[in-house]
Amino acid sequence: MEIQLTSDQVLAMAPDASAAAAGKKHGNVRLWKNLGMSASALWGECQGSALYQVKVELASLTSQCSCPSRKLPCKHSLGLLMLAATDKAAVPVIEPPEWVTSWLAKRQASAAHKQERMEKRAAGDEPSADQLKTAEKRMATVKKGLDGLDLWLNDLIRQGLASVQTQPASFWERQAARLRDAQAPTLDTRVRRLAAIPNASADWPEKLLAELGKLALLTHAFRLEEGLTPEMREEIRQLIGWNLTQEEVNARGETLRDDWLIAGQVVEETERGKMQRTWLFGTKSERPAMILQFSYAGQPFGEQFALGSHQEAELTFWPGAFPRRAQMRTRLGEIAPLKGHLPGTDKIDTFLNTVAGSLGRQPWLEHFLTLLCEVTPVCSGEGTDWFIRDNEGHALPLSGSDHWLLLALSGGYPLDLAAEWDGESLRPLGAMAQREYTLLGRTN
Amino acid sequence: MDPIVATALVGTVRQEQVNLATGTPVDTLIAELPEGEIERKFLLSAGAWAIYRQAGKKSQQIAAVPEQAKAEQLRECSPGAALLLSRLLAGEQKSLLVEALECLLQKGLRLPYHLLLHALNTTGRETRAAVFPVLGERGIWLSQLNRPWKWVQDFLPADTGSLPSDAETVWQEGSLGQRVEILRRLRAVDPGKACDWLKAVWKQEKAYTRGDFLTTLEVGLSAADEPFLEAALDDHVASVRAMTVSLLTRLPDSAFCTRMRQRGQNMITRRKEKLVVEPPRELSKDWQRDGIVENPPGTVAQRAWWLIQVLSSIEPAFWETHLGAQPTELFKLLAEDRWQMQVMEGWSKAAMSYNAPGWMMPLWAWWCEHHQEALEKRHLTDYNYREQLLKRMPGPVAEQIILDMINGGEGKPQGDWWELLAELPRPWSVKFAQTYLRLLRKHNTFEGIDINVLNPRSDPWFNDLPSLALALPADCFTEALHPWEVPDDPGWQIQYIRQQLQEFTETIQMRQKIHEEIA
Repeated sequence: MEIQLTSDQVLAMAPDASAAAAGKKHGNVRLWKNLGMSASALWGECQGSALYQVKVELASLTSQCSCPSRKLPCKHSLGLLMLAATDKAAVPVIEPPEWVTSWLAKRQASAAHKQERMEKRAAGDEPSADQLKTAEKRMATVKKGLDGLDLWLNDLIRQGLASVQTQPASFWERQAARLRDAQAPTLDTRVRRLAAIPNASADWPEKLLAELGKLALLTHAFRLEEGLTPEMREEIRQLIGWNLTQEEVNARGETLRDDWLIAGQVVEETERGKMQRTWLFGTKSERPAMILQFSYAGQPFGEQFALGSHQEAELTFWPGAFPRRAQMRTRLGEIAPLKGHLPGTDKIDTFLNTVAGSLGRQPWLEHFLTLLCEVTPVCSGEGTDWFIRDNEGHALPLSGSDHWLLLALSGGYPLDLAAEWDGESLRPLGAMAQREYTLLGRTN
Repeated sequence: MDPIVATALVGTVRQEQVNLATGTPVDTLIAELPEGEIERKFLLSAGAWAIYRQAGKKSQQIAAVPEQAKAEQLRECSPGAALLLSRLLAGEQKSLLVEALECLLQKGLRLPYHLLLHALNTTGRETRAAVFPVLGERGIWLSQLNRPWKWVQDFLPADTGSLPSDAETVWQEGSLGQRVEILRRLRAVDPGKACDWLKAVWKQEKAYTRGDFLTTLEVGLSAADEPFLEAALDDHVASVRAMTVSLLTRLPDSAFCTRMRQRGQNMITRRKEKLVVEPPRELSKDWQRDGIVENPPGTVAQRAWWLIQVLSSIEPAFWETHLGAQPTELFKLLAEDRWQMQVMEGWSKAAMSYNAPGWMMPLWAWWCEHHQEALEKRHLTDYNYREQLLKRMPGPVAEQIILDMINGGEGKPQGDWWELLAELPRPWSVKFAQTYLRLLRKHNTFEGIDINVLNPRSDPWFNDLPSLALALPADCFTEALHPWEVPDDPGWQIQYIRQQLQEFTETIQMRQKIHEEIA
């Protein structure tokens, strides 16, 4: 067993820049003793302010350290992974000590327990009368909330969008709060986001109108409920705010085993914390998957993903008309770094057609994973305008960061790019050049 | 603006007839909707139109293919070396970055592409000079695309002893740094031609560029340059004149040097067993033309200042023949004179600029003897002649001097050797470094030292350990990394020393890693 992470991938797991820098420093064999690795774990003792015991479960990269840091992974865990990635000779393959085996056993036990609980729930009893009553009550509340939203939307159009320029932020927040009270939290977020559109760009009226129009389509679809397929109904409910629990997803969603390519991650600030989208792509099924994670009040994101690698795993998708949001169900294989070409198209127009196809199935999609092969970054105007160009001269603008790095990796030659498309521009997630995958857009 | 957006901006209440048409297939869909509020219909139409447009998004066309970087000549460094360099470029152990970059260069390696941005964003002439040769073709290519990285153009590819084929173009169109460099290289191959190039543009160049160009005449300086330099003495910019003087000083057969010797000779005469010194009372025009500055710096007296300037432009060997004595004897003959200190200053400056080996040790000995006196007298133009002289001595000689000072009379440290340690050429010789480490370990046993009265901040052995870590040669790393035992003592002194030793060890470890990884 050999750990196949690169130092770049380890650093990408760091919760912030200072942890990354400290992690690099702690990847020094002199700070460690009792290092070891088995088929399932990696461990060692690090001399910090005290002697800390650090262990990592290799299949999931879940780490635990006896230090008091709240960061996850902490600098010691990062240091241990860094050491294993860069100095393989330093970590011998041996029998794990008791403090490692007991931790692994505990993790297995709790995973088994969770599985059991989920299966029990999946086997599912019929909902109780109380539950049915609650569901009915919620449906009534949501319907009332959507009626209010429709009136508000109509009024906006009646008065004209020019009038919103002078409205304070509270104008949007009030409507958003009404939706929250109406138990439609996803719509609440959607309305809250509208506040950022007016006057933010030259074409803001068009953007705002598009968003308002999509909201209207959503409430329209909701009212059509009976006329929709069960999958579409499921999708619409999620878009309004019927959130599914992990157990519900496992019980009702489709599970797919594949060799998943973990292309990259986008972290966004939200009203109450941070949201992280991790993009995966099934190399056999050719299906994209998006794992959403939320962090509140500075808490770390729970599950770790080795960006720029691939792993055999089972993912479970949220049920819907275009299942794409997913959760990790079981990790089955080793984590191995990406090598060779990305499984994408070398024609930008082919990619845009895929987007059109996806929108045909779920028109409210906002972000798309993009995998492009043999494309070249182009910089114009001294680094103010950036494009990615395919070999036929078709191009799309770039947003996000690390464009100069992308250009340095390319040198004017084609490379493979993983990016997130938002309908207007590509935000680079990683690039494959000279058989090395470099993560992009981690710095802002 | 599309009509539907215009309608939305104005608002339906202000329009008699609301036009829902988008001119797309969306219109047929909307027509199927049951009758209802016009605003609702309008919104649904707008939503469908937005999705229609999103799905039909077209790519742009970019015809021109950008120019590509040339194929690399150098090998990329290992991933381990790259990781190390990324830490150094991020600001960790700043003092080691140049060493690591020079290691890369020596091994014929270049930076990996993902570190080019950090490398191009470095500042400081010394760092950039070390960054430039390891940028590789990709780095040079990249630097041309971003204005803040244009500094790269001030450097020319490594000096291979021959002139690049586009030398004349570089001279005419290059940046200042490039032009200076190309002129310097031409001087090495064909000094006369370089001088001609310079003469051709001399009049139209700005003052500061003239000064920079002039420095290149150091290379291949000969009597052939004298006419040009003699004319440059009349330049209206003081810094250009000063540079001209320093060049002429190095041409002992020049008219300039003859004039200087004459002036020196007139000021210092030998009367049997003593030297008599008499600087002029007025500064004549011809002295000024030869670069003698009228007004002294600080509290130095005017006449003393003129004396020092003249003496520092005369080759020291001249005095041996002219006054008929060896340096040590000359110093003795001077002992009585009121201008003694100033003459010693002038001779020291001359010995250093002419690199007169026979004078270095005697001067060193003299300044050691008069160290206290020199520190107390405030009318010297410089006070650290010992340091300056030591710096110019060959490494082994300078190291022996320091060792002698440390060992002193009967094994007792003597003198302020630690102040001179910084002047030794780096890295130290293995022999010196080993001896020094042995002495440091001996000192670190604290035998016969009362820890409670020890002040490690001013103790010569402990006050500057991190700097010592930079001076050690690679062959001594293993020795330096043997564990350092520190007594168990809660006092701040021992804690301070422990911390210093920790920093020392970390720096050595990092340097060891640099030499191991960059191979």
